Amino acid sequence: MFTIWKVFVMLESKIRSCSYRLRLWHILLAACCLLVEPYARLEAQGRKRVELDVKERKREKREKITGPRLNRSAVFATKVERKLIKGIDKTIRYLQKTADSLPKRSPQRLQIQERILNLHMEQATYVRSEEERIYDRDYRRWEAGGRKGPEPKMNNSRSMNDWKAVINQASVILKEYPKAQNADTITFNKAVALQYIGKESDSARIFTQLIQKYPNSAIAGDAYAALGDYYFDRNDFRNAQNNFEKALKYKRSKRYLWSIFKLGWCSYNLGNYKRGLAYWKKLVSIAKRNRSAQASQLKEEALRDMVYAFAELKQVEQAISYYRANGGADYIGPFLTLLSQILADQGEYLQAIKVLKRFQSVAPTDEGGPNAQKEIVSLFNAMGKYDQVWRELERFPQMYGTRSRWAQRNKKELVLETHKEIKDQIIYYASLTHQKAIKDNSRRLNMEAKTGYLLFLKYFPKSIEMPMVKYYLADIEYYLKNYKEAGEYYLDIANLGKRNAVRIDPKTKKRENIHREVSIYMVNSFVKDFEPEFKVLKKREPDFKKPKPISERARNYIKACELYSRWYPRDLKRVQSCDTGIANIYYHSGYKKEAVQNLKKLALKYPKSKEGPASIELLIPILKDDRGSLLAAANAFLKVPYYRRGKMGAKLRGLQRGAEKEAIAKETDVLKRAQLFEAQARKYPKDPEVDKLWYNAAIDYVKAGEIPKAINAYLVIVKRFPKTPQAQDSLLQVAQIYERLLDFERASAYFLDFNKRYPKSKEAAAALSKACELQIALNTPRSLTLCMAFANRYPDGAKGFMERLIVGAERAKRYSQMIQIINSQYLNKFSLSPNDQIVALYRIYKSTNGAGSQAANAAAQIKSVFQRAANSISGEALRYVGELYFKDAYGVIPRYLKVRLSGGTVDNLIQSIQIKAQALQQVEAQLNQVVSTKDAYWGVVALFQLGFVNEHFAELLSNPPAISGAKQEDVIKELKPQIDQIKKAALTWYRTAQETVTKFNVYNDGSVNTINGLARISGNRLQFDDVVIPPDFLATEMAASLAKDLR
Amino acid sequence: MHFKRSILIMLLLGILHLLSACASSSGGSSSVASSSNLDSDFEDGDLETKENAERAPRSNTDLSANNTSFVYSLTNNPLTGKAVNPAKAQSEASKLQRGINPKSADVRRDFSNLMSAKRHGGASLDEVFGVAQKLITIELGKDIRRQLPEQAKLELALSSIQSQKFSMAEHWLNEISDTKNKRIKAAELTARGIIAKIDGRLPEAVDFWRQAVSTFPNYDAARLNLGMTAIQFGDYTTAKKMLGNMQDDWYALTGLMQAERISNNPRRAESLCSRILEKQPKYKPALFSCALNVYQGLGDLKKARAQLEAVSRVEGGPTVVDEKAFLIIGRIDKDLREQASNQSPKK
Repeated sequence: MFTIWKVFVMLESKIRSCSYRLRLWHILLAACCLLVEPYARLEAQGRKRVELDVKERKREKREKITGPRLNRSAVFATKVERKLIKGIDKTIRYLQKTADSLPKRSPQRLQIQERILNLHMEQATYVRSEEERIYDRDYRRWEAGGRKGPEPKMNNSRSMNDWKAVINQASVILKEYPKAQNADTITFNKAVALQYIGKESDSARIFTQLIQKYPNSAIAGDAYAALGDYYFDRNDFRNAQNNFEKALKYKRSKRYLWSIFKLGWCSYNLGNYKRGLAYWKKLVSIAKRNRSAQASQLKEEALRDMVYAFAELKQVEQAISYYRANGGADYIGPFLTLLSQILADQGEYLQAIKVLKRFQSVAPTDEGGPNAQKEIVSLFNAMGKYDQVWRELERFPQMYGTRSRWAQRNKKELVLETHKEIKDQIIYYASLTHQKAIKDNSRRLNMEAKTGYLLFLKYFPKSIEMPMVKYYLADIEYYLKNYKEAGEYYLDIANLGKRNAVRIDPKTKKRENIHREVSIYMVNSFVKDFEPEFKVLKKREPDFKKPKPISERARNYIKACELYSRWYPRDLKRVQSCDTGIANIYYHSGYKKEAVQNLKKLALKYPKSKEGPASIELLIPILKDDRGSLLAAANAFLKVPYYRRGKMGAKLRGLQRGAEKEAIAKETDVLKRAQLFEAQARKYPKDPEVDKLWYNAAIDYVKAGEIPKAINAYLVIVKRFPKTPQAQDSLLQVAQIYERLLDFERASAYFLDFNKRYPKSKEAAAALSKACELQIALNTPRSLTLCMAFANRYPDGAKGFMERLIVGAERAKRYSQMIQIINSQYLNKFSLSPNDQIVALYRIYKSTNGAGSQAANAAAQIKSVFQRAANSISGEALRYVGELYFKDAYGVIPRYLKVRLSGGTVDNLIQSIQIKAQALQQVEAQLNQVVSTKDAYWGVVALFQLGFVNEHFAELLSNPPAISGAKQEDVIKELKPQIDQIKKAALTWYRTAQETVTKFNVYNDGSVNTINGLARISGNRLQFDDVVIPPDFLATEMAASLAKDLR
Repeated sequence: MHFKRSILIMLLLGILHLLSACASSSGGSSSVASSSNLDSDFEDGDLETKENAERAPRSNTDLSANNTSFVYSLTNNPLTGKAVNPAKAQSEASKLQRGINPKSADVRRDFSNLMSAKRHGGASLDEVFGVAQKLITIELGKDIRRQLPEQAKLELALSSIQSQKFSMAEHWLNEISDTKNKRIKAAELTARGIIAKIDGRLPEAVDFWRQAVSTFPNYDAARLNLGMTAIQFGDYTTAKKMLGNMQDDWYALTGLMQAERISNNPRRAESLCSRILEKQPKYKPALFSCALNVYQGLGDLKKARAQLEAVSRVEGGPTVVDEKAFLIIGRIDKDLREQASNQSPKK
């Protein structure tokens, strides 16, 4: 700042042009504004002291009084004289006509001429008197009006004419009647008139001639007196004294008493106070005996003027006694006043004060009392005794105030004047001291001035000067660093309102409105008062759970700021500073509600300054748990264009959305919540969390049972936000929902899509598996490619699907496809058990009806697997092995059955029996191979066949061919042991078969044939010819009542 | 917040799923299936508890609070005594459809019954699926975690079998394979047996039925399949065991009677014949077997012949009975001739 100032001064000194200088000032002002930190840090602006222009009222030494001051009753004189002036003019005109009509030199004419002369004398005297009054009046007005305009001058043109008329009239008479009886008086009047028109020398010359011409005439005494006046007026007191002394010789002279009176003055002026006092006492003494008006008047003049002599002689007690004895008590006051003036002029201030106080005690109701008090104050002030000054000033209203005893005894006008005077005195001394204090930078004087001002307020609390006095008091308090008190004074003034906060110029009485000024100072004072505390407060971390009490200083500051902001809302800078300060107080003191309110206000009012955004930054953490308010705040801020931009805009929108989201989250109706989430997502498509909004909408739609909408929301996520974590879950959800909705085609497609999009996710395999599984359920051609793909990528989990594909193809008789799956996929890519291999191979075998190379190959492989792992083959696989072995064995049975017994000779028979037995052995060997597979199913068939082939053999033996030479009964008898043995064997096989049937629940033709075989061999008529209705029963679960009604 | 909550819920669901899986794998179901109540109609992961379901108010249209296992013939063969009248089923389906209240606590059961009634009334697989879709849409509206009730899944499997969509059937059977409800499990195994039988794998079919009976010993469908298949192939021991407790079922009694006959208990068979014919006097398979019993078991050839002739006169199927009766009459005539020749004095 200082540098700027230096530059400015340098430039300013070089620039001559006024306009450029003005512009330079503007630049300086702007620079200052820029340098002032925008964020008011609760610092009061540097401020100047008040400017006081109090002119010290220096004690003027008493004016040298060199002559008497005639005292007249002004009011009476004025009224009478005005009447006379008009009347005299008429009379003169009338007498002049009369005189003109009379013959010249006639005694009548002389008489009238003398009468006219006297009237002119009277007229001149009255007019002169009126002119003086007019002059006095104009002068007083001029002074009261601030001495504006030219100083009034006495206009004595009219009286001059009258005086000239006197001279003229006197000259006319003396010329016409040179030896007139009253020629001396006429000449005297002419001389007096000459005096008035400034021809004093001519006048003196005439007076001298008069004395010489009429030495014994009483008029000679008047002439001496007039000459005495002539010399007196020229301060030639010696000659004056001489002439007055000569005049005393003419005791009948009208001017006898006057001459005594003037002799008193001559002695006084010549420093002979005692002699002067003696003349005046003589006059009083003579006048007491003389009852004329002149004597009475001069007595009063003498009593009045002798105070000077008493004073000079310092005859206090004598004077008081004299006055009391001679009816001049009224002059004690003036005397003592004068005495005090003299003492003061002589530097005897304390003595002067003592005299004044004596005066006040002697004449407590004297009209001069206030002046005495004024003088006392003045004298104490002159001595620098401020305590006494304030004490005496305080006594002033007590002694001479409107309710004082003095006031009761004096005229109202004087009382009022005194009242004003008291006010003036107190203000004067207080402001004078104040001015000195500022000039000297004196703390002591400031405090003295403060006492003075306080005194004023004590006695004139409602005066029009009150604002001004408080203004000065505030200035002093501010200087004394009593900022709080200063602020309170400013506050008092400001509280008067914009119309009444007025300072009155003591000189010009001009009213100056100071409301704005004091309002600013008020804020500054309270800022100053609060500043140290605020610096500490600002470092305090707010604790909204434990608010710190707001100090008195802070409260004052807040109050001042609030008032100022209300009064001067357009003073943006200060209002901003206030708003900032208040917000900080509430914030750091931990008052949440108020802090929020004020920070919000700050943010909204000052978006472009740093306080605005800073307030928002503070507000957000405060409101973090009150989402409703936070949302409201964010909404409000976002209405401000400045906050819509940049990071703040993003942040606020984030808050807005966050709060909206939380508000949505609090909605308990899931459907409404879902709709709100969706609406929010549509409203803010660029929200960073819009995917989550859709996701939440989807979840709530699901909860609300709005499945299609949920799917739609999930798909929005999948489509628009494919890289978000929600997208993955959403796609899976869609697939699963469609699966649950039994829309397997779509579900499968979405599962497949999931696998493609997120192949590395942990759900990828399960998704593809589901896609495959659902396609298998639908039994579509696509299931093959899908499940193949699954098998290729996840071979460990695909075996079951492959088997289902194989079964599906088999059921659909798509044998080539089935064989391809088995050969290219199933057998090659999976780790299969022997059972799995055999079952798969058997499907190939069976699909070709056991014929052809594929069947042969499959059969060979089955046997190979069986041979490699016979013990691990079981169940279905073992049945297929048994079937193959049985088919191999079954071929020998027809050949065996064709072997017949030969008859004719015993040898033939025996030989054929042996052949048959051998064939039986072969058949049994073959069938035993089937049995040895341990497959119960085909084992039963084989066992039955074993029984059957034995039964068949026994039957052949029981019906042998004819043998020549032997009876059949004999042959049979001979063969019976063999027959029985073979039958027994057959029975054993049948029974084994039946046991196997029961034990293993083997149900095939073999099991039925076994029943019949057993019956036959047992000789039982029983045959299993029954018709059994094959069962195909299923069962479902349903209501019993429904079940009853369905048959 | 919401997102986190959903994750938490998913975790909880996972824990519940694990707990229920453990209970299931350890055979922890303590429910004993009754013949009248579907006690465990809840799936793994289904948050709706049994208690809640029981507490839920039932709608007026609820046809039955008590469920039963309804046995029927896949081919709707009237000779089994388990045929359904499609017209009645359609009528019941219409009634059910009209009475369904989606907000009812019994909506799951009502829809399942509707599926069943529709299927028996001849509705296509798609129609039955359509009902299931309506149900699941309602269910998902209540809670996305819900699935079709097992009863409905079983219905979908059975409908698929009926439509010979075996892959689809197997899908739904797989869906209920882990059920804790023993009747549902038995139904599933029974259905798998039927598919195996249709596939030509009777041993596997028998094995499934045996498992079904093992799971739920009184499961009639499985017992009938097993018993009648056993007697069809001469295993009278198993037949008696399976059919022995179905004394009110003339079809089962016929099988039992045949088993007694084959096991050479003609008197017992004769007694059973009386009971069967009392219930179903014109049931040809029984008439035929009873005649055989008179002929082969009791040896009363003339009576047997008369009965066989009477069989021929009975209307209806199966025709194989008529054919067989004709053959047996021939055999009896032969035996009578032999008897006559043996009894005539030797000259």
